Amino acid sequence: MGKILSKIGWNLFILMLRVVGQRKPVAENIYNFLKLKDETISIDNFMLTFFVFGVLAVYIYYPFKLENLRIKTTKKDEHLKEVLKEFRTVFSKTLGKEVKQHELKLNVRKFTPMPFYKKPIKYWFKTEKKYFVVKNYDFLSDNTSNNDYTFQVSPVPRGLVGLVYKNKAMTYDDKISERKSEYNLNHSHLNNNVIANTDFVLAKPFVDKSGNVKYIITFDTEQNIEIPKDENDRKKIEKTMIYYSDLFGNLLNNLN
Amino acid sequence: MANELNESKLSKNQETKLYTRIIAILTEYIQEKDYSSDPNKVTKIVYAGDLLNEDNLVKKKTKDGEVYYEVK
Repeated sequence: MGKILSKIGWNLFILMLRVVGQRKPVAENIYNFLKLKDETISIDNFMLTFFVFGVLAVYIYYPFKLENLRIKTTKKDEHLKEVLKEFRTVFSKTLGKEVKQHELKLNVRKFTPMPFYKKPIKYWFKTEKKYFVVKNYDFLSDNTSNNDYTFQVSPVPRGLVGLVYKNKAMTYDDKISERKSEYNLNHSHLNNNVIANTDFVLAKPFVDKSGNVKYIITFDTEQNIEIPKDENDRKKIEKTMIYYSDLFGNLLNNLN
Repeated sequence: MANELNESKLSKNQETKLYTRIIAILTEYIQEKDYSSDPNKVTKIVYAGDLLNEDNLVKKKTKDGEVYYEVK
C-alpha cells in the first residue's frame, strides 16, 4: 500500500511540475508565495525550470525505471531457469533410479491454449474447436524440433494432451508409440511421426478455480521405460511423478 | 545452485554423490507429504494403459463424419 501511495505521490509531483511550467497564473502564485520577486530569477526562468524538470521526470526517469525492471525480471528468470534445469536432472535421476533406466533424461514441455489469431482465419470465430500448442524450452529439452506441434483438445481429444484435457487427470503412458490408434492422431501427427519415437510421456493438467485447463506440462523421453507391475513400486513412482510435475508446473508458470 | 556447482568444479564422483543426497532428501520429503489433504492439487494419476482399453472407450463421430475415441 505504501508503495502505491508513493507512486501516486510521484505522479502528482510530476503533474505539478508541468502545470507550474505551463500555466502562468499558477506559476505566479507560487513565485509570489516563495517571495522570489526580489531574487535574480525571473518568472519566465522559474516556469522554464519547472517545465524542464517536469519533462525530464517523465522522459528520463521512466525509461531508466523500466530498464531497471527489465534487468531485474531477466535476472529472476535466469535464476529460475537454473533451478528448473537442476530439477530436470534430479527428476530424471530419481525416476530413472526407480524404473532402472539410470541414464534417463526427460524433456519438459508446456502446452498452452492456442490464441485465436494463430489459427487460420476461418476458425477465428469457431470456439467449439480448441487447440493446445507446444511451448519448448531449450534448457529443459534435448529435442525442440517440434515447435509447431498442436493438438486439438476439443471436441476431438488428440494425443495424450487431448486425453488429459478431457479427463483433467494426470496421465502417463510407457507404451505411447504402441497405442497410436487410441490417441485420435490426425494425418499431420502421423506423417510427422509426432509420437512415433516417444516411449514414455507423463502429462499433468493445471486447472483453474472454474475447472478450466490453463496449461498442461508434459515429460517425455525416447528412452525405454517400463513401469513396474508391482502395485507398491508403481505407487512409489506415481508419488514421485505427482511431486515433480507439480513442482515444475508451478515454477514454469512463473517464467516469463 | 548451478552456478555454485560450476564455480566449485565438482568431480563426476562428487556430483553423483551430491545428486544422490538431493534425491534422498526429496524422496524422503515426497514420502512424508500427504497430497490428499491439499484440495487444490490434481492428485489423481492414471495409467493410460488402464484408461485406453476397449471397455473404457466409446466411439464418437464429429459433424464432419470423423470417427474418434473418447474415454467413458
